[in-house]
Amino acid sequence: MILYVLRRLAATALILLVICAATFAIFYLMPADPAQGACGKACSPERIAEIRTTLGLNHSVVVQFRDYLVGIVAGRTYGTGAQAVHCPAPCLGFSFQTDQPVWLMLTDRLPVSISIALGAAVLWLLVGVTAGVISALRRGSLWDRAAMTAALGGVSLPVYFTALVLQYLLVVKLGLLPYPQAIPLTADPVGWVQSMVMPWITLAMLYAGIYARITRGEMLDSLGQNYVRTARAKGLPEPTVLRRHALRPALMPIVTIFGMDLGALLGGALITESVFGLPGVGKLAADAINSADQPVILGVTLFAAAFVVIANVAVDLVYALLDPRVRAVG
Amino acid sequence: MTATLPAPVPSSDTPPRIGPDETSLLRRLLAQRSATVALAVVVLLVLIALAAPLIAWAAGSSPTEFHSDAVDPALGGLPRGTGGGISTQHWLGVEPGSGRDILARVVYGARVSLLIALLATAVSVALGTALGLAAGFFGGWTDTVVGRLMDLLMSFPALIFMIALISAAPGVNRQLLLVVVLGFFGWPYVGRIVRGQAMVLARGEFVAAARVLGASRRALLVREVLPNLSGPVLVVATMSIPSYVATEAGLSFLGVGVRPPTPSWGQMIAAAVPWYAADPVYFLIPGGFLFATVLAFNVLGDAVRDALDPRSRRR
Repeated sequence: MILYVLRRLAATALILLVICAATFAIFYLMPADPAQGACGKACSPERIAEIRTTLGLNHSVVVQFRDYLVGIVAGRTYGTGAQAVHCPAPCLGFSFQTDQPVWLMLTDRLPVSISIALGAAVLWLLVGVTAGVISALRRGSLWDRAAMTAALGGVSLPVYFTALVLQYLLVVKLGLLPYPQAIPLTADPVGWVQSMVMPWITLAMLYAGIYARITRGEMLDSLGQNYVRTARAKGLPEPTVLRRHALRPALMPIVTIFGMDLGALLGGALITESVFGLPGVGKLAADAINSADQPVILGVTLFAAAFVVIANVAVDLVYALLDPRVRAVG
Repeated sequence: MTATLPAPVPSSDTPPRIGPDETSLLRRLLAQRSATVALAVVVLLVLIALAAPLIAWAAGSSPTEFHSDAVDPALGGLPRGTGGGISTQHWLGVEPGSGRDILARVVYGARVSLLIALLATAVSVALGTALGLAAGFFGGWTDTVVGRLMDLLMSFPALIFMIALISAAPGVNRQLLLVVVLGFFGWPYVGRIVRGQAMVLARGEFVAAARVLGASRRALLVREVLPNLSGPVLVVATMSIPSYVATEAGLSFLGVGVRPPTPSWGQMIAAAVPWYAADPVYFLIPGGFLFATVLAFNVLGDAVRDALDPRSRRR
């Protein structure tokens, strides 16, 4: 088991390194000049040259990449003398537009993204899995058809469209909710829920649809298995059969995609956060794109990739704990 | 062991043809009411996209023409009249501020949306089939390399990565770039399925028979294995179209998709955000078209899968 964990972690580190290199390559081989981006539109050529030196852009790509990696581990200092800017480890770059280390900007925004992701996850798991199970048990019924139609509709709704419709109905027309704001849970729990409920519903509509469809399919698969017939034949009460023999294997694929979906959302629900104006990691990315703040875009990409990759490992490890066969094969 | 020639008559273990038989596929699709409706919507959308200039001409407007008379400067540029400026001149209303005709923009947007989604599907299917086929048929190190590449691409945070990629390439043709980027991040989903199928097919007796008869590797791939992959590939292609439509719209919404003045649904919705409270029609129309398109393709994808995959049909 320890060997398996170590091997998975090594593979993860490698994937992160590749993602890091690919992201880096995109930004530093592309025509856009990061010095220009850092300085803004009205900028003298001397100032740009100065920034190029500060950012180390006069070095080769390989050296720049090495410096970047070293910065993540040990922190780094941009420039020299009185103008030097220190970026403590883990340094994912420094945004000269906002005068902040990217890491600090990310960690500042993370609580909002976590609030959105976790709340939505609870909602979509409850709704999606329950609807999927009931649909599988009553296959072909009115409920099944209605639920699956709704699920398909949910899957097809673009989040920004859902978000606008919700905000128009609940805030503008009916006045039931205030405009969402970034309120910490600890400061004002009611305000937090009021601000978060629309993003939660927006994301849950999409994901609940996906999860209901998968749960239904997996449940129908496992209900048709011999071991379920055996369990019934040996006289187990139906609820036990369903819970222990049908639902449990059906949930395994759900665990996989849940890990990945949650990981992706923790790295920023880009569109949802942007529409509701909630300052999470995703909004940070969207703003950075609009202002061409390259160090921030690079940082967010890596940060989000790390979440996805780590979520993948977490899922694999949970699997290995649940199912010894995985360890042997993996 | 006596050397016997294989029986000349095709035995019962010739693989069942899993490729789509066009007539029966269409008939099976039309047997389902939801699939029929979805197919009709898709055909309608394609017609709208093809006839965009004609529709705009009939409606008497171009997608980029400003109509300052249709908006009210006293109200900050809101469309005159009710329902976002819906009138006999502008059937679906006008854009606040500029007064551009929404109908013209929406029908031209359908062009962009469908064209990018279909081309991206073509790219991902071509790449995915070629690489998945090679991995599944040859095995060995080809399989290892392609398999790892697919794992890696699928663990990328694709949306953010696409944004990073597109925003870092300022001077490039955006529509072309979108096709390439969407196709590039999409091919592993095709490749994964093709690889699995190709592995099974490569071990099939009909392939062994062809090999014994002296067929070259190329002939085995092209004539024996490839035709049998058309079913699964068609399923995964149909199911990937809606996600490309949605992703293109999402990227355009975020400002890294299709560049103005070329209209795109995602971009129209983004432009409608500042106006959503005063003029909801402006986001409801492109949003409605986008939703209908994605939904229709999703329903169609499900139906094609059910028609071609006997395992899912039992459900």
